[in-house]
Amino acid sequence: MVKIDPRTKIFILIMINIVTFSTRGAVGDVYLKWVAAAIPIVLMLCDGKVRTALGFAVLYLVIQNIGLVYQYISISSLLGVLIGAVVGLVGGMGPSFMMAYYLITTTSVSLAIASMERLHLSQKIIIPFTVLFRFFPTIGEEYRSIKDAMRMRGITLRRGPIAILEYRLIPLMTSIVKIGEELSAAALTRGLDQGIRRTNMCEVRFSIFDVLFGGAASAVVVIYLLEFI
Amino acid sequence: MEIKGGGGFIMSNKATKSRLGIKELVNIGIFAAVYFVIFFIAASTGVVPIMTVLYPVLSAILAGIPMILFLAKVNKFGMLTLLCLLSGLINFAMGFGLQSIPVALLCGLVADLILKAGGYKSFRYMLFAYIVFSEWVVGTMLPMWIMTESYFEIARRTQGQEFVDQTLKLITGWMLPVVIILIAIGAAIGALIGKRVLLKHFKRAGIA
Repeated sequence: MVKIDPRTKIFILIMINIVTFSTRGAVGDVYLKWVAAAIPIVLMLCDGKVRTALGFAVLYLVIQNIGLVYQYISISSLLGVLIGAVVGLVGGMGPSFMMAYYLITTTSVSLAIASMERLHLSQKIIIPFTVLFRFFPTIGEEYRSIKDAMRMRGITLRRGPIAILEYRLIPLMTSIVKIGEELSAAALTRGLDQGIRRTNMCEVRFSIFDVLFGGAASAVVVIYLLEFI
Repeated sequence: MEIKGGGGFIMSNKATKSRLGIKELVNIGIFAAVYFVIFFIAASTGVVPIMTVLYPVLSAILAGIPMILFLAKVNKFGMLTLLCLLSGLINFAMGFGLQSIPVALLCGLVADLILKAGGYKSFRYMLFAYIVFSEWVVGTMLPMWIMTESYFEIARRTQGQEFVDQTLKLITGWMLPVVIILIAIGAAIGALIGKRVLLKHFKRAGIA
């Protein structure tokens, strides 16, 4: 199993973003797009996430080739526009999304903190950032629990937008604020606010694989930028 | 802070009184998470041409409740600036370009100043702070006006000529101020909803 440094993961994410999202229009750039998509897939394969990697690969291939359906339906029909929108979003964002997925699923919170500290980022950025990413799954969990609880009381969303506010968003906000309070209490007991350098179990170090994958990502960007000169 | 020991604990507490403590930083994180979930729900309506320009209005209305709750909790300078910095960074990571970071920072700073002027208590100042804060989205949309041709080159290939033509019709010069004004109106509506909810639910539950 090959693991790369979180800092390299962030670097690769930024590099892939430059290629896939640039306003100069590289989405049409066929081979660079494939390389950009291949990097996260290879990384996932190396990390032992074979099923996820293959799933992403198949999905990406299907979406890239979905343009073939325009032989059968008009591009300006409703279905055609819808397919176009999905392909535009998923196909264009595909490599970035895969890389972001890889970054988030393979980086534990303490590893992320360790690497951000090594980047000499301020605590004022590290703490909100860590909480932010830790909270996305929590919001989902809480939302599902609230939905279940409301269904048991017989309250469904068919009551309209006001019901969504009263019975979904407000309980969600209440429980999230409570969780936040618990989280800051937990952080306080660990002495996070003492301004003293804390030790971390996670080892953050570059290896040959960081050079390899980071180099591949930089090469993609360099080739991409050269095309505009 | 190089203070250690029992006495140091009191001293460091004194020193951090006006500065951002762990509680504030955690609050910034959780509200940023909630804000982004709502923002992405609003942004996903952008597949419809008109919403490509107007989704920030929807997001400003929807985010009113959590953001007014957040503003009611804010009591130190810099909290909104940090939230905006996070917004800008995430948007950069998602590929909306670097220009969204300075715009977001500017909006956050001005919103922070407004809140400070209101002493972190007055709802009127909160309303204006929320309006200014909501305008940070304009930074992510600026390329549409500055680099119109190249911006829509991608959309032309991925979303079809139809989509581009309809969107381009909306992106004439006067659209930018219109969008800014509409965001402000949306934010005001969101803030008023947020205030009602704050008084009706959150104050009563003791979380605001």
